[in-house]
Parts: sequence; structure tokens; C-alpha cells
Amino acid sequence: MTKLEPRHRDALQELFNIGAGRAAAELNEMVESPIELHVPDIRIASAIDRGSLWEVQDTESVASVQLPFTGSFDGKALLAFASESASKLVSLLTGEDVDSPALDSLRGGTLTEVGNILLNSVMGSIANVIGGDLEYRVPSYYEDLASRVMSREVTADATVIVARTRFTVESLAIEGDISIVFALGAFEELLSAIDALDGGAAA
Amino acid sequence: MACILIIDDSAFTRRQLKKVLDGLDYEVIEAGSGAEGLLALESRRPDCVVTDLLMPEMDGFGFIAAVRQRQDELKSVPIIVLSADVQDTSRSKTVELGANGFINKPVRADMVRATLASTMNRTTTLDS
Repeated sequence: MTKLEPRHRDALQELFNIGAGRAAAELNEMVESPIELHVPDIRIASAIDRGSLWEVQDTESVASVQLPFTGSFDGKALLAFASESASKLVSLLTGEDVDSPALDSLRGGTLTEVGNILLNSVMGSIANVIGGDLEYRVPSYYEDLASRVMSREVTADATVIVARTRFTVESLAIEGDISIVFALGAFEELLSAIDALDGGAAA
Repeated sequence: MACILIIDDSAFTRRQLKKVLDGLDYEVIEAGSGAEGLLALESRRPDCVVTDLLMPEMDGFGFIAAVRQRQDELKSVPIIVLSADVQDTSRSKTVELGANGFINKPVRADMVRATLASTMNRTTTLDS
């Protein structure tokens, strides 16, 4: 597969919209501030297409949470913040000052749980719409340069479908990206489920 | 004072939940996994358990199944699931395994309060 059919792209965008909308509602509850969602971007990406995952420079540090899933379709959901946004979010949720030494010890656990909630919201909403069933692995967290995170998540020989949206906590200048990385083989199963919803077969 | 056992591998969520439960005058015992939860259960029977689903070692599904398969009084301890998993299939599975309630994360004080109250009232009525 080298390109997505328009009807599949439209359906994926809508599924991702639904999932991201649920995640935004959960984040809104946590931070008590409106969340702005950007229009989702769906594309086929290869390891060299670094711009597909996040809107950050390769040399910028990102905090990332990954939630692997299997079942109706396989892949990995990713949540990423530039380090400064991550610090502001952890400070907001824990009540610790951004410069407080205590913040470091709370950072990983807090971001992991935020990622767990938001990524479950995205993937679970999609699974509910298509009548699917997903099993998750325990989420993991790490911080590194964006280029290293990307090469870790998208291996050199992989071609994956990337669905991505950026969200902004408006009043607090916190920005993050949610991405879903599907291996191409697993992606066919999702397209079949979409076709079943549409009442037709894949071409 | 009623005692609640909370089981979650996330220290962040345990803190959030404990804050709510402290405000409701519950005594709180904490465990970081399903396996730890089973040990905690055996040392003291809580009035209710609130458990996450996705945890390392033993997950919430495994914990609920292990409790409901017991042959002693701990078999019937009320269990509420508190999870980020929004899938209908996961919620159904917890009901089939014998959970008494389900709340989605993030922790909301009003939902926790209402679900605990109705679950514990319902199971007390059944016991009597």
C-alpha cells in the first residue's frame, strides 16, 4: 500500500477525531482548562519521514508515553510533549512548583498516567465505534531527543500509518501530540472494519 | 470507619484517589498491583476494593477473577473498577467476572463518592 483511498482517509480522520475528542474531554477534567484540538493528519510514513510524528526539531527534548495494543488491530499509541510543556503539566497536576526538586520525582509517574488516560480514550473510542476489542500492554515513559524517540518508535525498515493530532491547553501554553503508529499488515484489519461499517468491501 | 483497599500501579492515581477517600472519611489501604492487592486482602478484609485494570504482574481482570474464585468470606468483597479503559468490551468483561461497579479515569470525587455509596449499600442489603 503506498497511498490511502480518500474514503479510508476520511473514515480514519473521523475515528481519530472521535477518539481525540474523548481524550480532550478527559484532559479538560484534569487541568480544568479548555483544550483546543487541531485537525488530525493521517499519512503513510517511513522512518526517514521524521516530520510525521511530531512538530518538534530533532534536537529538541520530548517526554513521551507509549501504549502498545493488540487485538482487532496492532500498533502503538504515542503521546508526546516538548519538555517544557511536560514540566508545566506535571506542575499543574501535582501542585508542585515548576522549579521544585520534588517535580522530577513525580514527573515520570504523572506523565505515564496522563498518557494512559488520554491514549486509552483515543484507542478505546475507536474500538467502540468499529465494534473491536483491544488489549493493551502497560504504558512506558521516556524522555530523549526527538530524533532518538522517533527512530526508536519507527524502525529503519518500517513503513507505518501515522494518525496525529496536536492539542493545546489554551490558557497554559501546554502543547502535545497524540499519534497512532500502525504496522501496515495490521492496518488492513482496521480498514476491513471501516469497510464493514460503511457496508461495502475494500477495493 | 469503613476501609477501602485501592489497587493501582500509578502512584499518581493512588494519591488522587486517597485524597478523595480521606475527604469522605474512609480509611485507605494501598497496593501497587493485583498480586499485592490479594496479599492486602488476606491480611485485612476491606469494606470495598477499588482496582485499576492495566497493571504489571497481575492485572485487574486477574485480581477480580482470583477473588471471586475464593471459597471464603473474601469471595464476596465488593469490587469497583477504576480504569482508563473506555472500551465497552472491557467494562462488560469486568461485570462478567463479578465486579460491582465501574468508573472511568480520571478520578472524579463525585463519581467515586456515588459509586462507593451505592455499591456498599447494595452489597450490605444483600448480605442482610
